[in-house]
Amino acid sequence: MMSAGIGRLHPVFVHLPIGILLFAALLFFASKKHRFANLSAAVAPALAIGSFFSILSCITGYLLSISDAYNEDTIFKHQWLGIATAITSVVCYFMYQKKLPIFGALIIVLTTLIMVTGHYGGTLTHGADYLTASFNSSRAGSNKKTIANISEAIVYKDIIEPILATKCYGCHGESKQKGKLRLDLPNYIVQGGEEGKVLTPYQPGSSEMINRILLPTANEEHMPPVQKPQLTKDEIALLHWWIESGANFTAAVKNTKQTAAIKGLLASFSNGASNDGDGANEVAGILPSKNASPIASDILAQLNKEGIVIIPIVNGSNYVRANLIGVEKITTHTFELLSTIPDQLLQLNASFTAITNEHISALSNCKQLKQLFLNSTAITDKGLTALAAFENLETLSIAQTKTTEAGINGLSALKKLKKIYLYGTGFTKSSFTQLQQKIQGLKIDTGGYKIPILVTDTTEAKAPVVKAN
Amino acid sequence: MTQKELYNQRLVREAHKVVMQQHTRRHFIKESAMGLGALALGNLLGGCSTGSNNIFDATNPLAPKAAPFLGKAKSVIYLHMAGAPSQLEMFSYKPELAKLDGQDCPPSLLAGKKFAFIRGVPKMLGPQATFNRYGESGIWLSENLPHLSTVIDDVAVLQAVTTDQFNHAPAQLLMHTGTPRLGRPSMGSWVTYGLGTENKNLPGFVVLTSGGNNPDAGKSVWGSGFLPSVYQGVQCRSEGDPVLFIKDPAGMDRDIRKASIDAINKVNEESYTEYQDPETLSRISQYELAYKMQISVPGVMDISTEPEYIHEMYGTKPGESCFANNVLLARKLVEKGVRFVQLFDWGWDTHGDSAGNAVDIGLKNKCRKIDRPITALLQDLKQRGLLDETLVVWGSEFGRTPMQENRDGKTMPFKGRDHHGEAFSIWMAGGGIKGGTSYGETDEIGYNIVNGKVETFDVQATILNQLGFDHEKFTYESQGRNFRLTDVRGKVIHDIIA
Repeated sequence: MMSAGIGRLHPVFVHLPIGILLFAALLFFASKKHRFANLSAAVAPALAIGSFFSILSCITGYLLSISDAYNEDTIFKHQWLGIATAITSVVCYFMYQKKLPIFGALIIVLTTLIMVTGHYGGTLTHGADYLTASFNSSRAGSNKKTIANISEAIVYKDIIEPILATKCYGCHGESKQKGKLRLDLPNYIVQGGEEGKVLTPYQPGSSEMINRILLPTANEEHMPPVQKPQLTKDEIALLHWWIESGANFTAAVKNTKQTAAIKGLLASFSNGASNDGDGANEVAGILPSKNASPIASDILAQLNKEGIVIIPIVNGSNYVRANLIGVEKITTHTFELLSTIPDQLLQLNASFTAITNEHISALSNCKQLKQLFLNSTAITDKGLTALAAFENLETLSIAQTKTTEAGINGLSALKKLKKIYLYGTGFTKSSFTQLQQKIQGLKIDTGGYKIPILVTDTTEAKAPVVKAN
Repeated sequence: MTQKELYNQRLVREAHKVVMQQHTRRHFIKESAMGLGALALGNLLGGCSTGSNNIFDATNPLAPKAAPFLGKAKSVIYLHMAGAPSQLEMFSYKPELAKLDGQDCPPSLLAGKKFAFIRGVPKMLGPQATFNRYGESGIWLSENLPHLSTVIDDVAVLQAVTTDQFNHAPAQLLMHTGTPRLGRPSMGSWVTYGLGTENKNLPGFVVLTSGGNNPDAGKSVWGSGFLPSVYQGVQCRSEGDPVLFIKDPAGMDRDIRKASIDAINKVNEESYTEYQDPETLSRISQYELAYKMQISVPGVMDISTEPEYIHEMYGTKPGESCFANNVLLARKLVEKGVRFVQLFDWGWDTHGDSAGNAVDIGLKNKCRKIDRPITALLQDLKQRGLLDETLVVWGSEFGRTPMQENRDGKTMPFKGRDHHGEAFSIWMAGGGIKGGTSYGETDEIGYNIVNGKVETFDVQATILNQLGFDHEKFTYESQGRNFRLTDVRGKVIHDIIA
């Protein structure tokens, strides 16, 4: 492949005419000033050398274009603009020799051509968003879209296809099929290319696609080719997971098996953050798998105005935790406001506030509530009865309240309750067993821990008295 | 030109001049920076850095924020024993060391080592306390911690922490700011910057000291470094007024105070409209916080209203300045939504130069003063349902040598140990930490680490992890680069996480 070898010299030659011709233009305009008039002698040789290399660049460029795969549309523009540049530079040279007055205009055209051609050349090697990527986003390359409801998403359509589209379609798509392989439609993916099938469902290890991607970049078979944008670690993991779960084109995320790592990656789709490193996100178990709809901004403004602190449980989630510690005066209105976000309210801290039994009843529509803190409040057994509405409640703290076991019926309705804190309440021992019988696996903390007074608590260690000699 | 026209022209010129005078160099730099320069340079630099993700909002710097990941802990109580307690009399059970007691230290342990005070060949010093296994987990603890032994199943002990600093101040800075030198934000500042605080009437980061002295590293261990100053720790006193000047001056009532703060804020707002300096906004919010603190702080900081049962539990003495009072305060503050409470207790530097600094006398007394309140803290948090979301950390800047200190080659009057950075103990509890864990191992005399080495950076990474931060991504841009608490180090200690 002699021609391909020569073609590869294109990047070597291509920068010479760019520099030399632009320098020629600079010399020409400078020589118009009286001070630099003597520079005019250099314009002609610069144009001649520049033209020579621009022709050489055209030839090597053409050879490269037929031996390698590039975006057809861009290569068309780059090729013809390059040829136009070469021709214009040659014309420039002769016009300058003839001292035609139109030369000034032509050299401006030449400069413009060089820049535009150069830009398309850059687009071919570095990708279309190379120039703007750093302006748009600091996370160039991970501009994956956000999927609101990841468990309902279709694995292929929503996760795999976008990866293939950005990293593979260039050579294996509608316009170009290197190795007779197309990856842009399911039937083509199944069909494979001239060397056979590209994937074996359930067996990512014997799927050509994964193997090629995992080859060292130095290997000629490695995909995507070294000079093209590579797949990220996360993208490879997702492809691997898709093939492992059968390379199905219609399955939804919820119907697949997911390892912890994949769960983390999937979660990052719903909050838009990339998710690697140490902060493993254990969404499962704490947040419902389905994200809630966001709280309307006017409702949020009203909640804030009331002094209610509303914070997402985790960045990007629409589930929130509310803290009433900053509310200056707790009224029925406070709880009317809270009851407007029943789908989002997951945790509520009302400790040390003037919350009453009636207020709790006003929140009965907040079915998602998982954690409730009511320490040191005026709630009584009537309030406990009202708690029965919070069917998803897992943690309840009513330490230092005037509640007693008379309110136990409200509590025993909380079938999902895992932990309850009863320090400083009127509950008696017999009610604990009763509660534990009603609710499987409930942990009760009754508090009132005593720390015994030991001898060492009241004495001080002293230095032995040394007898004087 | 008539005389009148001439006057008018002069008047206009005069007006122009005044405008120009008011338009100072600051405006010029600001506007040119905002204008073309910033547009070009800012964008280009933006491409170089990993993206400035400073989340500082000057209008409401302490607004509560969600953590990037689901953290188990919502707040932290950090108990720092300034001076470095001896791990060999508290957590590190070394029966072999007892056999070597009184013998000359083998030269292999001294070769190439540098000590703060030990010179020549010191003698080995056996453990000055007896040890036993406690709890279901069977963790070894010394007789100096009889109460903590009852709750040891809630605690994860890191047995092999290491630091490269052997002097107090730099080691404390390393522990709390990630560098032995001055200038970086402390852990509490990072956390309040990242999470804000849920109680707008209280500071997000409170510091309490006891033992009669501030830590050697001074207030820099709770400073905000290059973070906006609102994130520095607010030092409260457990005796007298909790915050200095919290009361209105004599003759000034609350209304006048409110009116004066309103007036100051109005001037500040005008200054903000003119200069657009975000620090002005944080100044306004600080004045408002100070006004609100006048009401909220005395109430929270008053431990005398706590029931007798609680006082007995903690061993607190209202009105005194002591560690126990601070521990109880820490619980009250966390309960009220304070994000980070940092306690420093001074007086753990047991060199053996006096009875108070002897590992068999003074250290015992210090242990007695902390053992009860710390145990009470863990149980009190537990009974209020707060231990699950409050991370309690106990530690110091380094540990102590298995050799007896021989300052300047002379025998010390009492049994003491020198500074030792190679291996010491720290423990964590609550906030998603796996209780009843002992992580890491040192050699049979507690001199070097055998396995499970933990660096100060790892402790910081783990604390941030429990709060929902990836320590590698939690950054603040300063002086042209992104900084982290853990700088370029740190691994989360997954083995102690539940």
